[in-house]
Amino acid sequence: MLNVKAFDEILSKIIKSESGIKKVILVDRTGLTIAHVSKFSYYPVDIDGIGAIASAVFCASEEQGKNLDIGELKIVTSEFDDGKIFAASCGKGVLCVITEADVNIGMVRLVIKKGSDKLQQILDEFLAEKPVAPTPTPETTKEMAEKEELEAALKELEKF
Amino acid sequence: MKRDASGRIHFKIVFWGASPSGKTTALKWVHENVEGYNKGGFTSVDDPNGLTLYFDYTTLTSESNVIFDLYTVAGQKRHKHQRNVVLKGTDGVIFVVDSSRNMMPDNKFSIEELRDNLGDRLVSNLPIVIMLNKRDAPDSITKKKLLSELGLDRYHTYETIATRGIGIKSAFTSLAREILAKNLQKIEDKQRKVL
Amino acid sequence: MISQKVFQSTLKKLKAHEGVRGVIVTNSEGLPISSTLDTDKTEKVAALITSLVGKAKSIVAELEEKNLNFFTIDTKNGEVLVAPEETYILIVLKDKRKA
Repeated sequence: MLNVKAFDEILSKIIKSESGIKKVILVDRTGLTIAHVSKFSYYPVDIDGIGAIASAVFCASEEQGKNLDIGELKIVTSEFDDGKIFAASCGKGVLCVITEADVNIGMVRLVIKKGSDKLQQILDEFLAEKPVAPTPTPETTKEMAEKEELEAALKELEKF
Repeated sequence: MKRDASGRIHFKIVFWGASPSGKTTALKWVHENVEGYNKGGFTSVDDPNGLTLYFDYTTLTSESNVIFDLYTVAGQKRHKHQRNVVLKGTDGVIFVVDSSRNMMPDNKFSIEELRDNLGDRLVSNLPIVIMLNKRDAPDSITKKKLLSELGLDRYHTYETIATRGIGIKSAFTSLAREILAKNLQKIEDKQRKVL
Repeated sequence: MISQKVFQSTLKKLKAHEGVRGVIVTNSEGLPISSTLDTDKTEKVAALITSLVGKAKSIVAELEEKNLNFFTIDTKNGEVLVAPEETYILIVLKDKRKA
């Protein structure tokens, strides 16, 4: 079974590596927020919404690059008066780093590159969905739990 | 169906259709009137006139670890690429038809584009529900005619008026139910194979 | 602001010095402006040195030593010479001086 803490560990490492980094979010290319860490947890934002836009912005740029035939997209940088957003390709995911305005861009890029190599690996395992199980038992229990969750959601839907 | 790092199960649902068939209005209604499920924030990427430029997005979370990620697409023809991006990885589609007579060409364009984009997934029975919206329009076309002209006879269809919230709930829950049931079926099939 | 011509000739002169492995000019955001090294190495040096300059500046301020003009990192391989200016940082990588 994949250790889900692996994502948090890498994201935490990224956020700690440079003082101006405020948030690190890992999304997939369909807009799903997979994991995230923040420096100030009291700062209330809708992380899922932020992740959805981050993924969409990156994918839109990627599409633009395809139309213009200028190769693979690596990093999208958005510069604002009071902050910057970096969105970088990491395999099947997009790594999104939100920083203060006066951050060391070079350092952020370096940290992103290092982090995304590692993330790419775990992400591939994670999205493969089928962790290698020596016996069918853990897989079956996972399915049982999944089944229960879906059945419960179905029931709740009736209250909607 | 996907899981995030916290183990929660996600299903993505996309509201698809021409502009302005009422996709955003329908999603807003779901967001504002949801009961039973916990709702997330409402994110819109729209232009100064309130037309969707890229997408709207909101989440519905059940007590039991299941999250529906709901998206609309930008309906205007020129936003074709944005629509492709939003449609990626969807678990179900609500196709919103504008019932007004003069919207027929736009509806046709929209369903053709959806068919092109889904390709094989359309054949491999991706859950789709049809919302025949703006049933209150003075020049609305009959249900039968709309469905046959758009080739949509084989799907669950709901007559809706998004501005008044009529029929939206039924359309949404019908799709959500189909998605959940389909994934349950998949698990049961797999279990049967193991036994 | 110095002209492009003066800038380039200064870099050339520096590069010509004996034992100089590379000359990098980076802006204060850690983005390289000019370099005689390959892209990967350049980005790494620029980012890390810019980060160090930030720390050095705050140390100098804390110690009330007025302005930071220059510092050297002495290593087994040689020296890294760092000259922070207002809008850019000049970095020179050098081999160990032969005795």
